[in-house]
Amino acid sequence: MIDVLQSLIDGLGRGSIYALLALGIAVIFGVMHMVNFAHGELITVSAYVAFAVVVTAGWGWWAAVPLIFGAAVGTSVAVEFVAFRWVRGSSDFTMLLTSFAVHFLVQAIFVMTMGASVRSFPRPEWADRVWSVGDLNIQVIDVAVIGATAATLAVTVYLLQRTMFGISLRAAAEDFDAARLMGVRSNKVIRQAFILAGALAGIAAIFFLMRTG
Amino acid sequence: MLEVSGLTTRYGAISALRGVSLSVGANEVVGLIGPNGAGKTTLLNTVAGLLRPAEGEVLLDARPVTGYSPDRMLRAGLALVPEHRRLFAQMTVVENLRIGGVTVSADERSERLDEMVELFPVLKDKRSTAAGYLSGGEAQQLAIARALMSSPRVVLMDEPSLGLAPVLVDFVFELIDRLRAEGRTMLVVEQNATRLLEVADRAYVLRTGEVAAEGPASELLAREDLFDTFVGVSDGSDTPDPQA
Ligand SMILES: Nc1ncnc2c1ncn2[C@@H]1O[C@H](COP(=O)(O)OP(=O)(O)O)[C@@H](O)[C@H]1O
Ligand SMILES: [Mg+2]
Repeated sequence: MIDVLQSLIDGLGRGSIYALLALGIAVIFGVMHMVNFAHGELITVSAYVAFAVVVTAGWGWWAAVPLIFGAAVGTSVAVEFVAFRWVRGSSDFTMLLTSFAVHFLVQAIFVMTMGASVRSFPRPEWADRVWSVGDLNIQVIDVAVIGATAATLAVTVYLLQRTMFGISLRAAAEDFDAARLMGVRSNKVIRQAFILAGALAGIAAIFFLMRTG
Repeated sequence: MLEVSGLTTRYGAISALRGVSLSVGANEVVGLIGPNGAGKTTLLNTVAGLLRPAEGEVLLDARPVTGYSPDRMLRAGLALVPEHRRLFAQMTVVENLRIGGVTVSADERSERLDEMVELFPVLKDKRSTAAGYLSGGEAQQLAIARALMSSPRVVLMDEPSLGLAPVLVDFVFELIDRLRAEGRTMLVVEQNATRLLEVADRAYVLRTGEVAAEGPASELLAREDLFDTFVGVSDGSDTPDPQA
């Protein structure tokens, strides 16, 4: 029983990060019918930003958090603007290729400018703490990740169900042209989808970096 | 009020509309009839901004609105009830209505929403039902209500009675009458041409992308050479939905 519980907590701690990324991919697929293979690059970009401010500039972790988040959102919107906008409505294959291209381009840019070596940086001190509850060893970072993911999912559900933004997004996902006929603006709703996906990736990035360093 | 001149719309190399001109006066109900594939849907979709015309001009209140996107058309006061309704099946009745009012302020949207459930009482009890579970008649009422959410002065309707039971067909034509009494302007496409011509003030007959005849509804009804467009192809089937 304890083993099961221990595995559950470990699994949720790790899986939460992937859930946030997957949800972002699903949001983009919903409005654009594009499988975004470049979505993980948002974490790559955020990681370099984090490296730059925490290691190079010597900032504290808490100061880096909004920057990591902002980098993911900003990059998500920028990639939509420079790349995905131009293949909107193209064949699935074209969109897939484009997202692969963005994926490799981002990787290549970082390898060329930063080198291919693995970087690491200090993790926040509390992330390593462990709480012992009976026979259970609970990592503080797992609790933080699970809590933050639950809160993020709750906010996302609220946005999708209750706001005009969410209704527009769902309408566009169900029938894009019908949504346009109702007055939903294509550029706006797709940009918003990338903002949401970027925000989810940004939160994932924060905890990914806290966990792995 | 709505003025279309020399409109040509192409799908690739095919011209579905070839220089169509028509006009709809303020508070008029104008019918648009013609066999399957004549270009009726293409015309409405082009006017509503879903398709871009290759040539020609669209004027609304004497202002050029050619090539406007659908949201700009809505803001200018023109809405379309699309062919096959295109409801958001997975969204509730209220959500479908709210999306119809996406171009207006939150206050106006909730005001319109109250008006719509007043105007269409069947929707009242089904507020949180997914649109996919509505009957044909309810779905058509929702499609019309959704288009009215932005308070359009001009309403385009693409086969609003398609697939409805006879009593609901009556309801749709009564509704068109009622909307005219409210002061709205309408351009309506129907397979059921005879029925439409009984309600419409004037009508245009479209054939292979061109206007084949036009005139007061009563005159067109009496023209035997147009008989085929009235009875010929209203078998209920339709060309495949281009957006499906
Ligand atoms: N998406 C599309 N792609 C290519 N051809 C189309 C498309 N939509 C309609 N057409 C063609 O354009 C012509 C007019 O179609 P449509 O406007 O739907 O006619 P109607 O509504 O009068 O039945 C038809 O020949 C049809 O096959
Ligand atoms: Mg049609």
